[in-house]
Formats: sequence, C-alpha cells, structure tokens
Amino acid sequence: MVDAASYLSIRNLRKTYPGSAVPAVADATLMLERGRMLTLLGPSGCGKTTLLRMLAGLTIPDSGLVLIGGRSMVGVPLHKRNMGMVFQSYALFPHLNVVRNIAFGLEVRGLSDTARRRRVGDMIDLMHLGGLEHRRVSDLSGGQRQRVALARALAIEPDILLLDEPLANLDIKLRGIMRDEIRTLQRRLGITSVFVTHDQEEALSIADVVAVMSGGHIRQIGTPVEIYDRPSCRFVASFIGRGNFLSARYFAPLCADVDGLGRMPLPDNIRPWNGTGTLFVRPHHIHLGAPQAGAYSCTARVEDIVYAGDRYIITTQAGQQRLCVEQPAPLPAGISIGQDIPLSWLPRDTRFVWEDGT
Amino acid sequence: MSESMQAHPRWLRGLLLAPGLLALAVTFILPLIWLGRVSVLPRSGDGVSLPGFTLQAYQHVLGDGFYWWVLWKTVWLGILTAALAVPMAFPIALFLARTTTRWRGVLAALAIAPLLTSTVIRTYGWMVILGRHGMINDMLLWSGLLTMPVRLDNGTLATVIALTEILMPYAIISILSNLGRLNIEIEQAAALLGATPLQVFRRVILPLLLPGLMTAALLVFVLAVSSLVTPQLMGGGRVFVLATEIFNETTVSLNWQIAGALSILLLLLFGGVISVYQRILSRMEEQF
Repeated sequence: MVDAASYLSIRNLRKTYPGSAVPAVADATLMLERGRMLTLLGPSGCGKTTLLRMLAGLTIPDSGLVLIGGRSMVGVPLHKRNMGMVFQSYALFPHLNVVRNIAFGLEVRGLSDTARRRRVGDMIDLMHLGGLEHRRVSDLSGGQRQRVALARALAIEPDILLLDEPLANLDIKLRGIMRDEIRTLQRRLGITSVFVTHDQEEALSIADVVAVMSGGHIRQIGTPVEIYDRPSCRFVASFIGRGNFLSARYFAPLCADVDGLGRMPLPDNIRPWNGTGTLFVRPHHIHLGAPQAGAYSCTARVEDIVYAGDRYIITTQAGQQRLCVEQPAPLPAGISIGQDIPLSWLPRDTRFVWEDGT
Repeated sequence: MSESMQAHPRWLRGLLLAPGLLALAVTFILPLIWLGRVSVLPRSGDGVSLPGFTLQAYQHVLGDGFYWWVLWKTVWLGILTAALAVPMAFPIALFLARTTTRWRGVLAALAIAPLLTSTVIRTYGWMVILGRHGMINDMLLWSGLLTMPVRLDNGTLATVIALTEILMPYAIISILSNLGRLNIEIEQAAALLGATPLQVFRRVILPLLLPGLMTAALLVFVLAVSSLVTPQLMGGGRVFVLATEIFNETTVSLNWQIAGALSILLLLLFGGVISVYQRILSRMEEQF
C-alpha cells in the first residue's frame, strides 16, 4: 500500500543547466497527497517550470528522485509515464481537429473504437466543447484551445496532471473563469495535480498546497492560509500580498524594540531572537483611528492616498519608518495628505519572519 | 491585414509592384509570346520562317511517337530525381533544425554550399567519379571485383545520380523553411500522451511536414525536368529529354518551330503538374 501522504514524492531534485554556475533547482523536496492540487509559485526564473519539467520527464534531473504512487519515475520514457500535461502554448496538434486531438492519446494506446468514442464524448461534455468537435484547432479561441488541451490531457486518465502556466495566455476575465473551472474539475475528478504559476492570487485560490520558490529553492510549503498568514521568510511575505517590514531587536518577553517606532508588544507565539530580526504587519491589519485595547499605537503623517476601488492604499511615515495601510472604502472623514493620524494594530497581527538566506 | 493595405493608396501599391511586373514582362511574358508565335509560323522548304499561321509543328510533334517517348523519359527522370532527393534531404534538414551544436550554422552553410558552384562543374565532377577511368571504376578494378571498367557515366542512371546530388540543396532549403511548423512542445505533448517515438514521427512529424516535403518534391521535379546541362553531359547523347531536344532543335537542326512547340508543351506539363499538386495539397489540408 502506498502512503496517502506521499502519492507524489519529490526527493532532493537538482538541476544545473550547462553553462550556468547556479542550479536552476536546488534540492527540491516535497510530498503531495493523492487527489491534491499543488501550485509551484514564484517569480520568473525561480525554477518552478524546471521543477515541473523534471516531474514530466522533459528535463532530466542531475540528481534526486521523483516517485508517483511509490514508483520511481527515473529513466521512465515519456510515453510510459502516463502523465497529463497542459503546456502554456497548449501544444495542440495543428493538423488534427478537436476530436482527433482529444482522441490522440487513446489512439496511440490502441483503445477500441467504441471505448475511444465514448471517452472522447465524455471529455467533450466535461469540457463543454459540444458543437466544436470537427473544428480545426487553429479556428478556436484561446479559452477553447485551453479546454481542448485539458480534455486531451485528461482523456488518458493520467496518474497526475501537470499544468505549466496554463492561464498565462488568456485575458484576465477568462483567466478567472478557467481557474475556477480547473479547480472544480480537479476536485471532482480527484486528480493529483501540479500547477505552475507566477500569479500569487491564482496560486492561493486554486491550491490545496502552495510551494513558494525563488532562486531555485523551495522557500516554503504550506496551505494557502499558512503561506499568507505565516510566511516563513521575508521573500515569501513580500511576494504574497503586501507587507510592512520592521527591523527589531528582542527587548523583553512579549516586547520588541523597533527601529523608528520604539517599544512594541509581541504576540506570545514569537520566541526570543538574537540581534536584529524582522517583524512584519499586513497593511490591512493596521487600523486608523482610536486604538483597540492592547494594541500598539503610533502617530504617522499621511504621504500619499491611492484609490483602488474597494479600498484605499495609504502611505504614511511614522518616525523613520514608512508604513503602508489599507483601508476599506469609504475613507473616514478628515484624512488627507500631510495630516498626522493615529495608527494601531494588535499584537496578534505582528509576525516574525526570517531574513532571506537564513 | 486588409486594413493596413487600405491605408496605402492604390497608386502607391501599383508603383511598388511596377519594377517586378516590368521585369517579369520583359524577361518572361514577352519571350513567351514570341515563343508561342514562332511555334505557329509556317516554314519554307529550306528552313526559313514565313509569315502566316500553321499548327504543323504541333502536328509533327504530337504525331511522332518519339516525342511522346521523350516526354515520358523527361517526366520519369523528374519523378526519379524527386523521389531520391527529397527522402535524402529530409533527415539532413531535420538534423539541421534540431541540432544544438555550435557548428550548426557552419553545417547549414555546408549543406547548401554546392549551390555556389556551377552545375557544369558539378556535372564534370560526377563524370570524374563515374567515368570509364573514374574513381569508382578504378576502385573496382584495383580491388579485383572487375577486370574491365563498366560504363557508369553515360545514361539515365548517371543523370539521375548527378541531378539528385545537384538538386538536393534546394530540397534541403525548402524543407528547412517548413520546419517552423514543428514545435518541440507538440512532439513532447504527443510523447506524454503515450506515443512511442515511431508514433510521434508517423502521426505528428510527418503529417505536419508533408506539405513542405511536397513543395520540395515539386521544386526538384521542375528543376530536374528543365535541366539541360546534366542530361546532356551525363547522358552521353543517350538520354533524351525535352530540354535536350529543344536545345538540339534550336542549335543543331535550327527548326525553331519544333523548338517552340516543344517549349510550349513543356510549359503545359509544368502547369498540369502544379495544378495537380495544388489539388492534392488542398485536399490534404481539408482532411486534417
């Protein structure tokens, strides 16, 4: 029996491209339960696509292991991997129509005519491609191509579904729709999936597990809530959402000495640290107006106000410390540029993050 | 696209086309009209063209079994050359498109470098190789496999060998220009869907490249059929194709009527082949 906690298991995967001094992926290790959706999130060049390509077998790792259902994928040729892959370019077969694109994997497996037709029909229904069966793929819209690519990958009933920035070529509205559709489908089919993206909102909303990458390293693995709420390092905290970073020294239990802001209460889950550490507060946790009980409070001068529809983004200067505040619209009366306003936040909204590389 | 064309006035477009059209008119259309006219002029007993109109040359050509045989030999030579040159050029083109070696540019230049030498020189090169005292005969004699040299240099076989080598660079260029359709990700997608390397080749690479291969075949066919020097020199007077016949009629027999009629027939042959090619190509596109 295969341990459910490690249906997909990646151990110490490493890849350095020829002519490069630094590895594209360095010692990536992670595990994924069966039926879960993992997103690999990071800026371009962070190694997420290389990691996905190593899973697919399109890039050969220098060292390390990929196990799927307990089976090592090292040296398994592409056509025997039984993986569904959706490319960023979709990589549809331009000489085949929609039906023959979807049927391709079944044809090369020598599936019987009736079984194949039933399976393709199911995929057409599942992906809402009815009426487009005999279109050439070059006549399809971006969203339709995306659906064909997904249908083609799912038709072979793969052990794992790999998606390489599948939404990057769609316009923003369609992107949201396809994202939700992929998520719903993935849950319904219970197919173990790995989804590569550089879009943090996409990653958080679609994933069961997020792996944040930078510089070839996996910086943090966790649920979307963990990643957003308890970022392990400054890179993760700054890449996902906005944040205010404060240099601070540990002063006494439940109290820190913050550069430019003085003494600040700490939540009880932060343990003492040596030297200068980094505290971190989300802009939407900072409160305008009279402080709540037990909150840290200070006065800051408003430097800029940006309207963002549902909220205002206010840049302030408190002593030598710049603080960014997000305030749901409408703006309370009497807040304007140049004015001094009271700010406060609760100790429980203060996080401690490690500086990168520690 | 039509919008951007609308942005330019009609006269400007005409002006830009004018030099090309003029060159075509002077070097192609006018001579063609003149050729057609020569082919229907009556001819006096001592070979002088007379004013008037007659279809005698055509009657002579079409009524003579020899010319039908020459026509067949010509088409056969073209088919044979295309059938040899394209399959040989295909792997070379595929290699040049795929290789990641830094010598790629040099290799590509080498593949088409033969075009820099004249056909005459390359044909003589083949005569040196295939001739009675050529490389191959020397080697066979030296090894003791033969006691008498064999004739390799005169005839259809020698012509086809030389034409294949001479025209292969054109086939390579033609196929290479079409390889852009083949994206490596499409092949990877096919493989991940379970296609073996052979299936990827048969079901993805080949159908995607078929139009390019057919264009290459057409190009080689047309160039082979219209070649003069190689059949003339390699054939040793024993290979009769339309081009050599036309050359003979114009320079030896001085019967310009027959030469004109044969030229027009050759042109019709090309027209026929190209229209068949177009029809096959469009049917293929529909089928996919």
